Amino acid sequence: MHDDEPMQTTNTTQLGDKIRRAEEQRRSTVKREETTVLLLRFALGDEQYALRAHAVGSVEVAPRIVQLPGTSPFLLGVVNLQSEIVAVVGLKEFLGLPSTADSSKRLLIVVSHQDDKVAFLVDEVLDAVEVAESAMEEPISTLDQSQSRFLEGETRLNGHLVGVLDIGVIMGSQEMQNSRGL
Amino acid sequence: MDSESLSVLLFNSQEIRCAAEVEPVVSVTEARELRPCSLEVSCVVGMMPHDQEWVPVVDLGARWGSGSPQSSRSFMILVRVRDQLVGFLVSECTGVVSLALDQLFSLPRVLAHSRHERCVCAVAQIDDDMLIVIEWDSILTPDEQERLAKWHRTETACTA
Repeated sequence: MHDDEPMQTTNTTQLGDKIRRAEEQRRSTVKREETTVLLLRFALGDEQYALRAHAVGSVEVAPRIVQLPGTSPFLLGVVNLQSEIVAVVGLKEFLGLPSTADSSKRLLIVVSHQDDKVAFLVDEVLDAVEVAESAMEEPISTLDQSQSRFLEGETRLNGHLVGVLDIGVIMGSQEMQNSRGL
Repeated sequence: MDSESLSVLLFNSQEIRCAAEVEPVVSVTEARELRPCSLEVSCVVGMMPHDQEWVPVVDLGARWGSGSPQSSRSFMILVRVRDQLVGFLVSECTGVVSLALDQLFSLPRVLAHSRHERCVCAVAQIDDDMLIVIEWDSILTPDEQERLAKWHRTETACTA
C-alpha cells in the first residue's frame, strides 16, 4: 500500500486479524534491538493522527448515526454495530478541529478502553504502520494545549507530522466525564 | 398488548427520531395557538384548553436544547404524565408500531449518565432504522413535576 493511499475498509474480523497477525509476527521475530509500536494512522481534515493499533477493534463504514438529546457536541449519537449499540465520538469536534463539508466517506474506528467501547468518527483511515518507540517525540510546544494534552506523542511519517492520540487520556478526560454527567 | 412487546408512538423532535409508549397518550393533534402560561418551567411554552381544563405544553425541542423556532413543531401529543395532562410539541408524528423486546437495546455505558439519559431508556432497531425510546414520565424533572402538580391545583378551571 502506498503511504498516503487510503486503506481499504475491511470488516471487523479482517482488520482485527491483520492487526493480530502483525503483532504475533512481531513477537515471534528474533529479538529486536528496538521496541516498536503498531499505529493505525487516519486523517481528520488535513491533519494526520494515529492510535495504537492494539486498542482498535475494527474499522467500519459509518452507518446512520442516531442522535440523542442532551449530549455533548462531540458525542454524535449511537450506531448499531453487529447488534451492539456503540457511542460515536466526533474526533474533530472533540479535538476542536474545523469540520469539513465532505462527510460522505466517513469511517468509524471502534476502540475499547477498560469497560467502555466507543467509535471515533474520522474522515479517512490511511494505514497501519510500525514505528520505533524512539521515533515518538513529545508533542510540539506550538500545539494548542487543548489538543496536545490528548497526545501521547508525535511522529513523522512520509513527511507528515502524525499526532498519536492517547486513548486512556481521551476516555478519562474531563470532557468525557462531563458528557456522562459525572 | 403482548407482554413481550411494546406499543409505541413514533415521532420526531427536529432531527431526533423517537418512540414512546402509546398507552398514556390521550390524543395527537395538529399544534394550535397557545395561551401564555404562568408555570415557571423553562420548556413550558404555553397552555391549551382540553376538556374544561388548562394543559401546560412542553416544547420537546426546547427541553432538549435544540435551537430552531417553535413554529417548526407541528404536532401536539397530549399525554397523561403521573395523573397530569401535559402536551408535548414535536415536529412530526409518523405512526404507531409494536416493538418486540429483542428490538430494544440499552444505551452504551459511556452515555449512561448524559444530561437527558433519564428520559432516554433505550435504542430501538426497526428494520434498518434506529431511534431512541423515551419515557414520558421522565421528560420533566421531579422538581418540575412537583411544580406542575402545584400549578394544576391552583389553576382555575378552563372557561375557554
